[in-house]
Amino acid sequence: MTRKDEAPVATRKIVKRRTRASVVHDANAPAIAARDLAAAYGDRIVLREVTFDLSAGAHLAVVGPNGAGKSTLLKVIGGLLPWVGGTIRVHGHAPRDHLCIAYVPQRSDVDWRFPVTVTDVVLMGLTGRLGPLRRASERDRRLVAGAIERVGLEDRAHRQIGELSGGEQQRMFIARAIAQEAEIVLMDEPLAGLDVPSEADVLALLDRLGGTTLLVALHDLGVAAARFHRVLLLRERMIGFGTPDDVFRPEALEAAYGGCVRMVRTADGALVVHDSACSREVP
Amino acid sequence: MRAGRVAVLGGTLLVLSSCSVPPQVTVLCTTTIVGDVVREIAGDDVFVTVLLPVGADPHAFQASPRDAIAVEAADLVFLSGAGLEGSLAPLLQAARGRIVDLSSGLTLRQDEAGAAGPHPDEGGFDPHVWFDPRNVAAWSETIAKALAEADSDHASMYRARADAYQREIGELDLWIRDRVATVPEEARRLVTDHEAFGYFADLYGIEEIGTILPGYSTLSEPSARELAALEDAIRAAGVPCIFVGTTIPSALAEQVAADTGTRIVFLYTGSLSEPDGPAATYLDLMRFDVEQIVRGLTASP
Amino acid sequence: MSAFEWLVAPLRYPFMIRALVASALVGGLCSIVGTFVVLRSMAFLGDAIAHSVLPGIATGVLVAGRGDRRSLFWWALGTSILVALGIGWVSERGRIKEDTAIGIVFAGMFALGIALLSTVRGFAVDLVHVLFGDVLGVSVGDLALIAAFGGAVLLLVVLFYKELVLVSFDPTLGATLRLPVAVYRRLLLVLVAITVVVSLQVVGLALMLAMLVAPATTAYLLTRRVRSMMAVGALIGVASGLIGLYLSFYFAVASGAAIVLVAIAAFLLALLLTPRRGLLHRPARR
Repeated sequence: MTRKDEAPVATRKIVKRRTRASVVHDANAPAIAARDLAAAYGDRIVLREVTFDLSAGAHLAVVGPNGAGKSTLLKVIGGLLPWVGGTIRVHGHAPRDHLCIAYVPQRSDVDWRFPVTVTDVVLMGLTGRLGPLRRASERDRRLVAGAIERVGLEDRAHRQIGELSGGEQQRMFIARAIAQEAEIVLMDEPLAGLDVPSEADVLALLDRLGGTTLLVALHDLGVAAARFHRVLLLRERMIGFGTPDDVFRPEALEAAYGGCVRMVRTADGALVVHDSACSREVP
Repeated sequence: MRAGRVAVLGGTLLVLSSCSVPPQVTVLCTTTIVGDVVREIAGDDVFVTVLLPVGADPHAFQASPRDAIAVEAADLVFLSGAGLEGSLAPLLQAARGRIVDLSSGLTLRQDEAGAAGPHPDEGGFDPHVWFDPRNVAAWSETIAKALAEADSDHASMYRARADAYQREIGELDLWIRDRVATVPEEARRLVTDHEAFGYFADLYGIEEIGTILPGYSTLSEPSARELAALEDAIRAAGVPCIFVGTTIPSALAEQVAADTGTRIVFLYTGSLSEPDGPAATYLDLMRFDVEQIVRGLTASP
Repeated sequence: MSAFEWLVAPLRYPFMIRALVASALVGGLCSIVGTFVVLRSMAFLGDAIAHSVLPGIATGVLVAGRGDRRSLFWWALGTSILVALGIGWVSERGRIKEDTAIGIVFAGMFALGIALLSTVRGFAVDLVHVLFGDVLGVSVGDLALIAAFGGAVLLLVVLFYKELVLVSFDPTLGATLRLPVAVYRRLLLVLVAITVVVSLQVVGLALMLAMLVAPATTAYLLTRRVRSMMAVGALIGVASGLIGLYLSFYFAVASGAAIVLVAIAAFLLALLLTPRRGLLHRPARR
């Protein structure tokens, strides 16, 4: 599969020998601009008709049933997967031109038995900047320590990653994104398998990533509706983009989830109701 | 050997196509040395073919399907015996003709420890009987009798040739004794690549100091300790050279020689040379080897 | 015999000194590269690369004759690098499952090697050396090659250490940081290929996998970080080489096998003695 619309790399500022810099962001362009974006695995189109603009610093929840294409969308925006139709622009350039995008994987995709500590993993975020043959400097190490502190993992900094709890693991990846000085953070199901307090911890942390553009793939519509200003509803094609109220209408939910899901706004937040006795066929 | 196989094929066709002429006996020999001795006795009266090519190591011989055909087609199969052709045992079970073990009835050397390499069929005997010329004389007797039984028309020819050959071997033995006598007694020591020269050493009064590969077969590997013991023995005995066969790679021997300051001298052990080489017949092989040994031992280190 | 004599006795023989140096170098090298083999679950791949060297050696024997060992080294090196890159390519294509692809290449190449080698009548001796090593026959020239290529591999590991660790742990991060992940993967395959050929004379094909995997796995049980895993693994590898040779000297057993048995013994010791925490069992919490 070849990628379309590959923009040439803009000016590369060489600050030090062997240091790579991200391309200069176009101030006039939105952080993320997608037009009719489509992606495929082999011959199978798994994502299409995705069109939206996201401004810098906004937080977007990407929701939809299993296999809807949430991970795929994140990977395309991160420059990890090519796309087969439409356009995608990140700060005015192609995704792959940027070094400022962090991707936080699903926890099930990580080898937790790998012999690395929290500090080692967060330090990896700097590898792109350092380039081969160079070692981390004192300044780099302080950056890493600062990022670890910011997510509240200082007392776990030298533990092997398998010793962390689920919430701590998520925070470690957020620290890595901070160390990477990422301006866009993509998170794939960060709340999966977490208990309620850990969930709250992680969400609180995300709230504190003020200036960072955040795209979070989520299962939980309630969390999406309650904590995010923008949501993107997917089911292999984009069904809706906008505020939760705009997007989570009955018709849209039916189109995405097969008609047995309702969202109810309450005083405390949003409630998502699954009608388990519902017998409507999945279209 | 291509010529041999064509001969077998041709011989078979001849047998099938011409029924009025009495069929010629086909004889198969395993090693080139056996083949040479058999040819001396048989002359042109039988078809003689040899299984191993020149330069092949009889200890490491691996039979192929063509060899099975050759075995099956032969009227008479001559083995060197004493376990040398151990790997051929399954092949020989399919032999149609008579199998003659040339070494049966000979007094065989045996290793006390029974360490004769990984082949259980070898039974712990030293198979290099041909290095004692008297054994080859005995071979010629066995061959003459076997050929006479298979082909009584030419029995007298076989008899005559065997007698002549035995006279030649007698001359060879005398010649060897003379040559060995020129080596000072304290220098009559052999270091070889594997234990091939036991019969020779026993007969002509030479001491075997040690071998690179332990045992009678080239398939064994020395341990570090055995190599160390060999190097000690070489230094203690002050031998000037190590005698190595042409059929196996000599890398280890070269290292030992370099470490002990000795030379490598090549001998023919399990196979004759090419027809235009220095050891094209058994008698030539013995002369060449003895000459190499005598020169090697008497030369200044 | 006093302990000192016992230690020094083998050193009186130049072939033992050469063998000890070779075993130590190879033990250390295999463990260091083996760290990545273990962390990336490349054990089967490593075994396949080792066995796929045989047709290269066989071709070398047919072309250059059995006496010329130096040329066999180059034949083996060329073959193993080609095979390593080839296996990498096949498993990237993804049409058949990776372990099946590797298995097919593995068995096919080995069979090809046996077939080629069998046309040399009396190939058994050469085959034994290729399969089980020939450390007692190591010459000074062989040592120079081991040191040169082993040193090159070590240099590359040092230079690209953090990148190699990164793409082993999180290739997605590598892609995010725009690192040439595929290049590093292939580099690792080539490093394994070179290590295999350099180590052939000491351990042989049949036992190569154990040297790549056992010391590194032992270190994995004993350490928490990759750096220490590599260092501890190298120590264990070197020690296995040296101890194995001493055992071979005093107990008259094959050197290659002795070295591997020492490495396995170290692994069993570590397995039995490390407390069951963290590294050994899956963390229960998610």
